Amino acid sequence: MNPHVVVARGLRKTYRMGGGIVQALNGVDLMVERGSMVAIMGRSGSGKTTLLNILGGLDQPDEGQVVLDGVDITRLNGRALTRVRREKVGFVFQEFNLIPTLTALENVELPMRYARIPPGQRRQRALEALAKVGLSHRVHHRPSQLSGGEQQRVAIARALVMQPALVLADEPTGELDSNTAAQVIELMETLNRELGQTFIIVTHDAGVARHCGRILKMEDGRIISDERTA
Amino acid sequence: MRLMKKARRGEWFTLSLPEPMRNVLRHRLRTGLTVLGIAIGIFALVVLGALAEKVNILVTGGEKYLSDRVAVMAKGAGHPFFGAQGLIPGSLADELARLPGVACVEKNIGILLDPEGRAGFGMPRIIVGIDVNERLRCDQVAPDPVEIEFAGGGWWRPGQRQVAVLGVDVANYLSVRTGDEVEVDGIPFRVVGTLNRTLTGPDNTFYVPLEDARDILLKRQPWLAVANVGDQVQNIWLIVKKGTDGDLLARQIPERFPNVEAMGPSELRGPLQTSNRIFQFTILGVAMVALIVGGLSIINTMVMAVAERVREIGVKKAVGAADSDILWEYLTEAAFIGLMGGLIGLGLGVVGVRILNHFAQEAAGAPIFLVTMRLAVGSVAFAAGLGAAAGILPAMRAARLRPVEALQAE
Repeated sequence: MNPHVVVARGLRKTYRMGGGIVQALNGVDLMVERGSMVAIMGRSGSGKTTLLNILGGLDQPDEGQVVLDGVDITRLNGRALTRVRREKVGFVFQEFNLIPTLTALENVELPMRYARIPPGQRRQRALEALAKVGLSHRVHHRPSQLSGGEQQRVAIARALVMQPALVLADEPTGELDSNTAAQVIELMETLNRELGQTFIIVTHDAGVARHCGRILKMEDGRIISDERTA
Repeated sequence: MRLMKKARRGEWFTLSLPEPMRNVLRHRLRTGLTVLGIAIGIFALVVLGALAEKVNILVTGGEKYLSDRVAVMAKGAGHPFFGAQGLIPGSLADELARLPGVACVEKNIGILLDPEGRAGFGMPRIIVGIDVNERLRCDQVAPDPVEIEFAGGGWWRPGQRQVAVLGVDVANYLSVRTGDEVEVDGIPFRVVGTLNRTLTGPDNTFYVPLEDARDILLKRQPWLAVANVGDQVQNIWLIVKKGTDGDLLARQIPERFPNVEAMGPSELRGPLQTSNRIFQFTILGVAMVALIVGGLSIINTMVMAVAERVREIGVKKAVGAADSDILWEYLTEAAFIGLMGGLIGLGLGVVGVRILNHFAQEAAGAPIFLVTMRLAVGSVAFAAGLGAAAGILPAMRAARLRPVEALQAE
């Protein structure tokens, strides 16, 4: 098995915005080891989220290549990219992004529903994922009945349930108070340690980044520092 | 406490529904108004459709009845179902019966039961004078395709006079049953039989012996007495054998019998088909209005639903939903809105038809609407299909959203 979950080379991405052109990524090279926990920090507009979107197959670079778990995702068409997102990547968003009409259990089942996993099996796996994030007692609650921290834990369970090669988290503690934020990042750290789950976390919060073994800093679409803390 | 229990029950109900149905219930007022719009369209479709179905069954029965028949009547008398005038000698029946291809013949006099009264819908109530011997013979050699079953009693015996067999709507209209007596134009008739519902011509028919029908005709048109109407009849029906071309036979009859004219099955059925087509077009018109109004309101609802849920669509795509998954979810949601409108419209339509039939029964003695299974299923399927069709554009819009852009939506 390739020791690197992500191998990205020469990523460039520009956007047209308000008549001008914004260089969101300006030649990014990155290799992420399997089982690592990486933080990406940087000011707004530095290209963190764009990089995350490209690594997760949500967006395509103008130039460069991303090999995710052995698959060159920059060469894939829409349908194949959908399969990659479903099977190889889990997403955790700042605003939780749970489906409000679904219960916690159903939200966690969602990726498996799209993967056509039989209902009995997906229920079992979703219950296990919710147990891992400590929410066995809240499975039939809807997002509006859960606290922010609980919602984010449901989102983490949803990201983990397909046992993806990589979980990408974009400001996962941005909407949480400091105590809850600490609990959420500690949960991610535990999952990384115990399950060997690879995480790439975009954050502004140095406290969150401290939990990661590697911290990348971005500026003007480039990685300007790459620091290993452990 | 009670409110909390009620809320919990509501929550349980919502969570028991599939996701597209839960989405429909997110904006209950908006969905309710859309569903109401469709329900009104389907209500109109069901009520007018029920009217058309009644006519359609009546016409189909008439078409079946005429499929193997040739009508012979006086020159210029017109269609026997639409008040044919003029008389021909009944003795002609024996000569016509000998024509090749003729299975049997039936002489007939048809008169309106209430010449100035209120008529039932689709077909007026008529007195039909028949020769019961001929009827029984024809039943044996060429059974009537419209099955006539007796609810009580039976045909009168040959030679009996002032007896009658009544179709179900005539019996209801006159409030008589087998064994009762009823008077027509001052002539008393004993009801010896009543028929089960056929949904076609016989329901509105008051069958009497040919001679009695002739007496009623003479009472109504006394000047006919001078014309010596002894054995005269209005029509002679020829029932043709299988494999005989009734239209060809009808064309040949005036050549041999210059004082009469004849209509074959095609000519006889023509006016029925025309009137039926008018009703079908009426229904099509209503369906089109329902289609436009209902379709536009569903499109509006679904466009708003997609606009509100762009970020959710982005999330679903991020976790692995294919375009087809999103398309299917939104189509199902739109079809469900249509289905709800269809079911409510059908329910309202059935209730409306019952009420209208009640008034029709009071006013005209017969129901004038008929909700058939195909109408009921067709209306609901139409509504659901309309929903799905109207949902196609918004659903395609949802399916085509790029996940990265959708996730950035406010």
